[in-house]
Amino acid sequence: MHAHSSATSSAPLVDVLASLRERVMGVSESVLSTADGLLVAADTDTAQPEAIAALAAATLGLGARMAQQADAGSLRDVVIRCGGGQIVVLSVGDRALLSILGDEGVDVAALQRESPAIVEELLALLAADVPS
Amino acid sequence: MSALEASLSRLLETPGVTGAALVDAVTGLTYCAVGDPSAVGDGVDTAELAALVTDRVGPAGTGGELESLVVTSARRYHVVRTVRRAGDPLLLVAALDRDRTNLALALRQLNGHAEGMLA
Amino acid sequence: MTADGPDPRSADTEGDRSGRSGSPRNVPALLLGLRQERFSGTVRLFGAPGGTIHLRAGLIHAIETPGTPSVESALLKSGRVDDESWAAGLSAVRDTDGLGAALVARGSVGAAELEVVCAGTVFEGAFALAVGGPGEWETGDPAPTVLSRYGVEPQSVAEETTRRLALVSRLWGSPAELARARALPAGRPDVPAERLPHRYLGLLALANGRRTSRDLAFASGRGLFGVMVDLIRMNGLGLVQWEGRAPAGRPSTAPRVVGDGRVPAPAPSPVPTAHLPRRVPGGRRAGHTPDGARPSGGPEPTAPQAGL
Repeated sequence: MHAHSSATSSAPLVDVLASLRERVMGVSESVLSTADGLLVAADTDTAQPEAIAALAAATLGLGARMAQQADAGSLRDVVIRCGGGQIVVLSVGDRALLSILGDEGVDVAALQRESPAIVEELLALLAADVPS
Repeated sequence: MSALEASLSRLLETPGVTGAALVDAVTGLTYCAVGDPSAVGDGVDTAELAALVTDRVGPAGTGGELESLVVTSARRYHVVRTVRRAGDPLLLVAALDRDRTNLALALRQLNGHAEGMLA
Repeated sequence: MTADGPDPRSADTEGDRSGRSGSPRNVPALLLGLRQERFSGTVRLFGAPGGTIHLRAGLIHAIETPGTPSVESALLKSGRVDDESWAAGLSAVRDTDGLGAALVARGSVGAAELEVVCAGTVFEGAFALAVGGPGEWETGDPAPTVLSRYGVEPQSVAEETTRRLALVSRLWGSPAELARARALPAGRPDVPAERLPHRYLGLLALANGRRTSRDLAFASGRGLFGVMVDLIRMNGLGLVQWEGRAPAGRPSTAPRVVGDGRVPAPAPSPVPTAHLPRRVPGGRRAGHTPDGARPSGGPEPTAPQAGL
């Protein structure tokens, strides 16, 4: 499913999101959204991209406040683990969020390995959003 | 003795049963075998036979799930009974001496064993 | 894990038994060595996917890998054990070595049933690791997981894994490719749903051209090899197909289209060819073709076609 981005074509973004599934075993869907809960691009199957986008912002927001309360330094990501799967929400730069949905067998090591590169690729594409 | 072995060994009490095994219907893996292993035959072959019947012969008839197979040879019955469960089906396999077996009775007892196999 | 020669490095076994590491191809030899030492602990494999082999006295009691569902996953996904019972079982034991027994004691799962699930998962885990290909390994201390009560000899696991890899190669092609291949229903309107086994219906409902064979395994709570075998059989019956492969199961020679998320319309299915190994009088299995890898493409009816 492709999300519509008002200003720029989202196809390259979706390609990067879709590549996550190839690179990390167990990843099933992913959503790129803004820090204030708006959908940017999605590679989804059954999840609702707009709902994920809204929840991602709330999740990272709460995570950051918890990190602050615990005096634990800056937030890296939030991992939600369930019997049937897990969701990871992480920042992409300072204005976007990436939500990665996977089943309970997601290759955590591979995810940790691939996330930085994925974030870099997304940032590079998003940088084109900023008028020069 | 494992619970599975204990459960399967009860089959050896049925008159005529010379060997029994519990086999994965999909992969052919033998989970447990008791009695005479050569009588019972190879799990992989048994599973393939059951799949052949299910896939090719079943649709020609009433189709659906295979319940049981009986292969009769000169001195032996080879009975395969599907065990339904949450998860991939299993095959309860028993080899019986024709001389010592009342097939109808043996089948009934086998059916009974299949039901309570995995408790 | 194919049987391999002994690794000279595994000969230095004196002193600390954990913390050894080494190169990939020698995992089967490593396990044989650890069996002789009656090693209890873990062997962690790094790769895509990697995984963890849990040993007690050198016998394999569990294998965990992203490549196939764990015992926990299989029990929960199939509905044999519900989340509550699982959590209750966990809270009743001090370490998960005893979790299986706790679940049986609570009546959440039958003892024999649990033995079957645990044993099956060991073999599925080994297969998934072998499909994942080579990677580094290291030994470590025992780690918590659901252990089967009875361990499996590494030799048995290695032999069965070799058999499974060879079977997939013969019937389809590269097991690694099949694990990543995305099946979708191929539409056989002349086979009514009530004539299909439940597990075929289950896979058909989940196969959407997006899920790989491995994903289907997790979605259905079944093992990777079991799902592969069923997909191959279903392909032979014209029930599923894979993008990029001709409906008969041969790799497609059409130019590959860059994915844009759309699923191409399925090509019309020809008469299903014989992909199943056929019984030949004398006992040896038929199905070998000159190229050794895949059955030839011509239609070969092996059974009455009525109803198919």
